[in-house]
Amino acid sequence: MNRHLQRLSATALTLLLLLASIAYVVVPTPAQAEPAPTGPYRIGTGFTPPANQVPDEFEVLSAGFWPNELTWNKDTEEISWGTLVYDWDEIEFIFQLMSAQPANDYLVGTIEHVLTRWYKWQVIPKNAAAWAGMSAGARAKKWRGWLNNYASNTSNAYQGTGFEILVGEKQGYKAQGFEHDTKVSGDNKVRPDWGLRTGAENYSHLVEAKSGNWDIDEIRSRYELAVETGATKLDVYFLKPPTQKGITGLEELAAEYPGIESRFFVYPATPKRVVNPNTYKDPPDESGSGAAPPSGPGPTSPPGSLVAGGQNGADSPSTDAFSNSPDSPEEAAEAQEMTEQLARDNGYASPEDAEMTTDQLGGVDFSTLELRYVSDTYDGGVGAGVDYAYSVDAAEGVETAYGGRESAQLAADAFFTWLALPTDTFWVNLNPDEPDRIIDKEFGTTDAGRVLLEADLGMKKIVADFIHPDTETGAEYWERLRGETKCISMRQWIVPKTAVVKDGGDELFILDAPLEVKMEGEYLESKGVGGTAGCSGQATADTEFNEDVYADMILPKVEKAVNTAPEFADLRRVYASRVAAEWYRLRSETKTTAYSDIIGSGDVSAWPARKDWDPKDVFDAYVESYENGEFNVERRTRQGDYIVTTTYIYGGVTFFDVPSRSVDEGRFAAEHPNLGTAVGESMLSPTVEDGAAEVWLGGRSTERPLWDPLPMPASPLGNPFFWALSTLPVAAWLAVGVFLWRRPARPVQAPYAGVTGPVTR
Amino acid sequence: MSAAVPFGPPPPQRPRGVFAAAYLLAGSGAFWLAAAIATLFAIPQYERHHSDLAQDPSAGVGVTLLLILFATGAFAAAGTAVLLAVFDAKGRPAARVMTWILGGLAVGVALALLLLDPFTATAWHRGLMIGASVLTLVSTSVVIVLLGSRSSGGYFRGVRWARMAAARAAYAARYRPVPQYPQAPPGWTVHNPPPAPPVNLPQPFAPRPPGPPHRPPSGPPPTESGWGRPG
Repeated sequence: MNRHLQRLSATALTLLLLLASIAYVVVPTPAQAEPAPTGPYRIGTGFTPPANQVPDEFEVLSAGFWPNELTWNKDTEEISWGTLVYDWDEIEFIFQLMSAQPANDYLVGTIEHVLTRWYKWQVIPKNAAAWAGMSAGARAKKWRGWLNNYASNTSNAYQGTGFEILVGEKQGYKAQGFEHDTKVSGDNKVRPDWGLRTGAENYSHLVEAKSGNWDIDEIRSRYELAVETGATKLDVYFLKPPTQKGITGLEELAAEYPGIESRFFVYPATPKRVVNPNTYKDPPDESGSGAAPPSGPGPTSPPGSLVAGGQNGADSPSTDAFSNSPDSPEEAAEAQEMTEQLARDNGYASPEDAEMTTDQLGGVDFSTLELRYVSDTYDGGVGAGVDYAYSVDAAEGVETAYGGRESAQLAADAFFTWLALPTDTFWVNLNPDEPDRIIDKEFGTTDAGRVLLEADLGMKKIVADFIHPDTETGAEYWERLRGETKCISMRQWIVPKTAVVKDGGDELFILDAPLEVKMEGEYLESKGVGGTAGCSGQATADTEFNEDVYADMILPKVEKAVNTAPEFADLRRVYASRVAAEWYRLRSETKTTAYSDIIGSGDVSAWPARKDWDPKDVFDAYVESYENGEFNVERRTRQGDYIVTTTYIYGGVTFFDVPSRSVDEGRFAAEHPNLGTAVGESMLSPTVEDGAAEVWLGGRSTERPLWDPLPMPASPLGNPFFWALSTLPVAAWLAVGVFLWRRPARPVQAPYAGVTGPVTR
Repeated sequence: MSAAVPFGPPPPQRPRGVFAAAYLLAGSGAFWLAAAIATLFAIPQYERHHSDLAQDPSAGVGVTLLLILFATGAFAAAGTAVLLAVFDAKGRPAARVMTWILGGLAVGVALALLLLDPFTATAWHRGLMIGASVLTLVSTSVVIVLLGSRSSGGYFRGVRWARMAAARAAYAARYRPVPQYPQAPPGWTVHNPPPAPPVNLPQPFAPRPPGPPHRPPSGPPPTESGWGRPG
């Protein structure tokens, strides 16, 4: 009886699992949540943003040309546009015809308008003087920068107008009789985006649409306009979701104007470029590639975005901040001047009204920019790729930060360079005895290679500063040296020190990435300034003693300089990218990542050096200095003409290995309690970690554009049917095992027992 | 219903090792079956992954076919493993040899999966496949060792001999002239009595070819042999 019960229970268990599976098939699966409908949603206290919302689309007109189709001829200084070529005389002629136009000017965005503005820029005396002093290459660069500035301003204006029209039409403002973009009055040239007019200078309801970055003062100006015109309602629409801090600021602002009923919305939408029929070429790819598409870095690639190999760059504050970062104060002033001029040309009172504001990040020092966070979000077709964030030191009192574009491009290019090339190529070597072993050939085509080689040269030069006899340290150093010539000859090179990171499995925070300077005594065959090779004329004991003095007094200073001095900022920047890339490389060994195909490919053609350079030039500069004593210190050791050069330094930089130590969760949480939140929010807006002096600028690459409506395949892990079916065989096996285990042993039975028929073997 | 009468000696008692090997083999089959089912569920994600990699919607077809092939192979291997487990438990020597072959193949496949790691695109499926591969490696190795142990060998040989002996006994029982050969009715004379039953059973590996089946005479009894009416 007991045996039958066991059999029965095992069978029942198996059947139960089977029935559960069948029941799941029969019972209809609950439908997955439908994407939220398109349209704006309220933000602020008490409002929850919808999940999985498909953005709307709005049309954006384009200028009559693309910046990359207006080319500058270095030799003739002519501007080509398709088959048309404009020399200076022709540009001047077009300028003179301007007054014959209906509005005494050409339409903003036309080729004629560009050329006349270029003419106007050229004839300004200070610009003409600067232009006269430029080389052909500098002039070409100047033209490119000027044109990009013009194009970005007009593009901003077109996008702003497109978003305003979307808001007005989809939200019914237009249908209700709101006026779009009209001046308040003849005297008041301010133009609200949408306004329901109640009098000559009065409105009852104002609407503001912000398609780009914004600051609280811009919103405040709309409140002021509402007060001024008697409006009691103000709606503000944002294309990009503000951060929580931004929302709080808006709510505080609204509280300052209790007489105005205000509402804040986010309207997710994506611009769709309408190609101007006058353009010659296809629109440039603006999907983003700071690290350059296969065709190479282009003027339209958002700098600093870790985007390559088919990935898409999501809109991010980092690319905006870098793109809008001028290279110098002069460039910033010039850009502002052009923005104001274009706004006036378009008939607006200010660039804000014209939606031409280009927000430039202030309060930071871009020279300290480093890639300090990277996250692998790629999980096999679910649409993500890489999240990343740069840290920048805060700099109080800096209204506009300069050099962000260049720094970010270097960091991003270096990241991909470190991924693409094998690690044994990450070395540079400045040794007068080895002119044929300066740098790996492929590595020598990249900016990362340039930075390493220049850092090697810079390290040798900075030693001269430390040991200069006129300095306190230098005097003491020379005093302690032994030997008649006080000679020292050694190899000194830079290697990574153990980096402190927080490796969270799929994400990496780089908390500290120090470098170390190593030295060892060696003797060269080449003759230096003193005319002897190495320290051949000096007793070995003296030379070794001198090396110890150097290691004790000078080496720590060199190492400190490498880790903190501005001259080595680029080296630290590319090294931080090296740490991030090494983590990404190792992670890609265990799973497929967005850039698995790039790793170890050896192909760095997509990330060529953005500055013309030749490793041989750096080597020649070093050899010249070595032989002529430019940075090898000369010291008069005797009266008379006897001069001895006593320091020979050579070495290199090697980034073969990246030792790292991951802090544990508890320590990370204790020492950086807000870092994770700050980095997460940096994907939306520049953020500061509470209590820290660093600003985080985040970005994201995605396998598909974020608005891609293609549904992702659902993971079966949330499917009970999957669990029932896949566990059924194992459950059945276990049930049979239990049954057999508990079954009483049967008596051994002879074969063929009870057989009555023919028997065969 | 008459009680079954055993032929020949009983087979040896099944060692625990053989039982464990058979059970583990069936367990491996169960895991392969589970892995095959899970693989079928993972196909949409792999298809999407490879389509995205190639930026081509049709690029996922190849990997889909490969995964279906893989799942089919796993299904077949699982079925074979369960069958072999049953026959191993019964002591069939051929099943033991087949198990070794299957086990070797399974170990090879599991090692290849662990080394090549082809399922990296979908994290959950990769974890499952690694787990199944490790389990396969361990369990199949144990199965191979257990089936090769001395006690297992004795069991399989013992079963084989028992089966052969039983077969011979059954054969003999089937074709041996029954002791209760029909006797001549009273009054009848036996002229040619039937031959005496064989004293020795057929030797192993050299069985005597079976004679024609015994048939009862259908016509009148022969006059020169057998029995007939008294004259």
